[in-house]
Amino acid sequence: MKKYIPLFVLGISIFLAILTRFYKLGDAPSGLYLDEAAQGYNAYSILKTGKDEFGKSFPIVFRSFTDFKTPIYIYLIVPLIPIFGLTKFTVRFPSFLFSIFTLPILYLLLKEITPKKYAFQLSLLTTFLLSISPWHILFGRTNFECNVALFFFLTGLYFFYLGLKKPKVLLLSVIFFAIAIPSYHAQRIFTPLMVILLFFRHREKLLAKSHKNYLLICTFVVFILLLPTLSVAATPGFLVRATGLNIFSHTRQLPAGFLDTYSGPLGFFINGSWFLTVREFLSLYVSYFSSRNMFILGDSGLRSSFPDLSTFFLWQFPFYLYGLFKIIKNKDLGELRFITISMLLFSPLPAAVTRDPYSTIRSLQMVIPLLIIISLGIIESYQMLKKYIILRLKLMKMSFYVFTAFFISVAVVTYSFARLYSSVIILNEYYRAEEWNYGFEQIAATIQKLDQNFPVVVDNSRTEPYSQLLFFMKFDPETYQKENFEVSLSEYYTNMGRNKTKRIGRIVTRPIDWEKDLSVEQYLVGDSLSISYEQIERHNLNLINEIKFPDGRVAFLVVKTNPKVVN
Amino acid sequence: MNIRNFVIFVIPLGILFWPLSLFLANTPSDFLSYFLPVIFILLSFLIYKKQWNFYQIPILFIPIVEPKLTLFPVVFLLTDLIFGHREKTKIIFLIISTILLFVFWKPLWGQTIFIKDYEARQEVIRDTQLYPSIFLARTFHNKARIIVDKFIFNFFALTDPNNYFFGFAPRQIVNNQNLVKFPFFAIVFVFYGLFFIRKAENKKFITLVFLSSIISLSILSIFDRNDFVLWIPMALLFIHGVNLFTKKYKFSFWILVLFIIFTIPELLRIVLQYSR
Repeated sequence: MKKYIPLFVLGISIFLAILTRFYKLGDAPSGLYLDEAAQGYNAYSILKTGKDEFGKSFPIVFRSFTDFKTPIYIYLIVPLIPIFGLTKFTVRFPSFLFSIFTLPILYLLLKEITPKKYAFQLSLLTTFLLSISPWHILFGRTNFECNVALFFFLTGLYFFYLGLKKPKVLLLSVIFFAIAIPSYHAQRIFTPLMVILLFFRHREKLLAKSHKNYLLICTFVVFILLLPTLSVAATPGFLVRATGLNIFSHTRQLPAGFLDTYSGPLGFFINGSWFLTVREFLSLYVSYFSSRNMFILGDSGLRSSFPDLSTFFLWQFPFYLYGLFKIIKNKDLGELRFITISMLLFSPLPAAVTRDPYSTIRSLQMVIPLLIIISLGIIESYQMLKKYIILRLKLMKMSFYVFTAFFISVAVVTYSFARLYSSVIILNEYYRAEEWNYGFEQIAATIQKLDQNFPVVVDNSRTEPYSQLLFFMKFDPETYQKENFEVSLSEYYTNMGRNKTKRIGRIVTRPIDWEKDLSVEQYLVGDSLSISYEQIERHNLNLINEIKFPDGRVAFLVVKTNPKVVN
Repeated sequence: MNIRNFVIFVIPLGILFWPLSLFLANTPSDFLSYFLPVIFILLSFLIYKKQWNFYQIPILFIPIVEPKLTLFPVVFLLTDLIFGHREKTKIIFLIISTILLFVFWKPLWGQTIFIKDYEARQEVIRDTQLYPSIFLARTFHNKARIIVDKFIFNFFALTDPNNYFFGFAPRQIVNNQNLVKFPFFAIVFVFYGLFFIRKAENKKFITLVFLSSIISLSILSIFDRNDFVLWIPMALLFIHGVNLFTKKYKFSFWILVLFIIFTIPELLRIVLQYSR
C-alpha cells in the first residue's frame, strides 16, 4: 500500500495541474495577444506552405515583428493545427502540455538528487506546490515559450544525473539541453551557465574512462543540434532582443539614475556608466530575491501577472524564509543544495541584464529552486512543530497532530484554489482584457460579414493588428506572402527594416488618414482613440459595430464612410 | 596596509548615507523631528551596551517627540518581556508605554492605515459585483482586507532590500522620498551580518529595535522618513557584517577597496542630488 502513496500524490498533483491550467484554456484570457497570434499564424503558414509569413522556408528564428521569435514553440504548434484547428486553444496548448510534463520530470529529478531523508516528502511536496503555483500556472495557460524551455532544461538536468550513473543517458541529456537553448531567449544564457557549472562539479566522473567517450559523442551531438542556431547567432536578427533590452547598451536610453542636471568635471564618478550600470544590474538582480516582489507585487507586466495575485501565495512566505535559512545552513543536503542554490543564483541573470524589473517570464526557471526552498521550509517546520508540540509540550497526540496538519493543509490549498479562480478567471478577464488584445476576434467576425465590395482600413497606430486578423480569418498564407513584402529573403536575419502597412485581401492595416479616407467608400476599424463618436457624427459615418471590453469601455469601432454625404 | 584602518574608514562611510540624504532632502526642522527618535534609540543602545539596567527608559520618550511612533515602545517592551528576562521594571515600563499609547492615541490614529479609505471601499464594492457568489466575493474583497493589505504592503516594503540599498529601484511605487539609505555595496555586509546575527554582540537590541520599527511603521498610512528609526539596527548589522567579514576572509581587503570605489560616487551623487 505504502508504495502507491507517491503515485497517488503525484496523480493528485497532476490532476490539480491539469485543472488549473486546462480550465477555459482557450477562453481565459479571452483576448489573443499579438505575439500569440503571430506564433499561431506562422505555424499555420509553415503547415500550409512550409514558409513563414515572409515566405522564408523553415526559419531558424522567426522574423515576425522584427523581434525574431524563438522557433521551438512555433514548430510545436504546427502538428496541432490539423487536430484542433487554428484557435486560441491550439496556440496555448503546447504551453499547457509542457507545464504538465514538467511535474513528473521535477518529481523524478528531485527524487534523484535529494538525500534519502527528504527525497520522498520533498519531491512530492515540491511537485504539488508547482501544480498550484500562480507563477507556473500563468505561463501554462498562455502562449509563452519560457514554460516549454523550462521543461527541456529540467529534463536535460534529470538525464544528466542519470547519465552520471549510466553514461549512455548523457546523450539524452545533451539533446534536451540543446533543445532548451533555442527554446527561449533567457535559456541561451541560463542553460550554458548551468551546464558549465555541472561539468566542473562532476568533472572527475565525466572525464573518467567510463564517461570520456560518451562525453566526446555528446559534444559532437550538441554541436550538430546547435548548428542551425549557431549559423545565425551573429546576425542582427538573432541578437535583436539582447541588444534592444540590455542595460549595458546606452545608445537609445541613458543609464538609470543618470543626473542630467550635472555636467561638471566629476562626470566620470557622478554619471559614469561603469558605476550606474553595475548599480542598475544589482538593483535588478536583487529585486528577484525581494519578498515584496515575490509575495506582494508580482510582475509589473500586466500580461505576465494576474490581478490581486503575486508569484507566490502569501502563506508561503514564512516557509520561504525558514527554508532559505535551512538550505544555506544544511550542508548535508548535497546535490539538492547545489542545484537549488545554483539555479537560484543563475536564474535571474538573463532577466537582470534587461531593463524590466522582476520579469517573471525571463526568470521562470527560478520558480523551481524557490518552490524547493518553500517545500523544505514546510517539511522542516512540520518536523520542528512536531518535536515542540508533541515531545516537549505534550499538547496533543501524534495522530491528532497529523490530523490537524492535514486539516490546515486542505484549508490552505482550498483557499489558494479559490484565490486562483478569483484572479485568473474573474479579475484577469475584467481588468486585463485590453492588455490581452481583446476584441480582434470580434473585428475579424464583423469584417467577414461586411459587404465584400468595399475595402477595409484597420488602424495600426498603436498596435499591430495584422497578425490577429490573419489568425482569426485563417487567411490563406500563400496569398498573404504574395501580397506583402518587407525585405528580401537573403536579408531575412540581417535587415531590420519594417513595412508596417499590411495587405490581407481587401483589408489594409495602416494609420487612418482622415482627409483621404473619407473620400473613399470603405470601412474603417479603430480603437476609441482612432475613431471617436464626435468623428462619427461630424463625418456622417455609419456605425457598423461597437466592440466593448468586459468592463464596458469601448475597445473598437467599425464604421463605414459616406463620401457622398461628406462631399 | 592594515585592514583595521580600512574598516575604520569604511564603517562611517557606510552608515553616513541615510542621515546625510535625509538631512539634505529635508528642511532642518523636519530633519530634527525625524532625528529625535533616533537619538533616543541611540541613547538606549549606549546604555544597553554598557550593560546598565533601564536601557528601555529613553525609548519611552519616543512618543513625546513623534506621536506617530507611539506604538514603538509598546512593541519594544512587549517583545523584550516575552523573549527576554521577565522583570518587574519591564512590566512597569510596558504599563507606562501603554498609557502613552492612550495619551497619543488621537494623533496616532489619524496617521494610521485604520482610517477610512473611501476610494478603497468603492473598489471593494465594485469588485464584489464581478463574482458569481457573494461568499467568494466577500472572501477576497472586504473592508478588513483593505487594512490587512495596507499593513502587508508596508511590511514588505520595509523589509525589501531594494528599499535600503537602491532607493526602492527598480520599482519605485511607494509613497516615498526614495532616499539613498546605504551604499549599494553595503548589501554584502548587511546580509552577511544578518546571516550570522547569532554571533552579534548586540543581537537582542538589533532584533528588538528592528521588530518594533517594522510593526510600528507598518500601521502608518505613510511611513516615509519616519522609517529613519531603522537606521540604527541596519547600521549595527552593517558594522557587525563588516567586522565579521574582514576577520574571516583574507580577500576582504579587496572587497573593502571595491566598496570604497563604488561608494564614493554614490556619496557625491547624494550631495548633488539632494542639496538645495
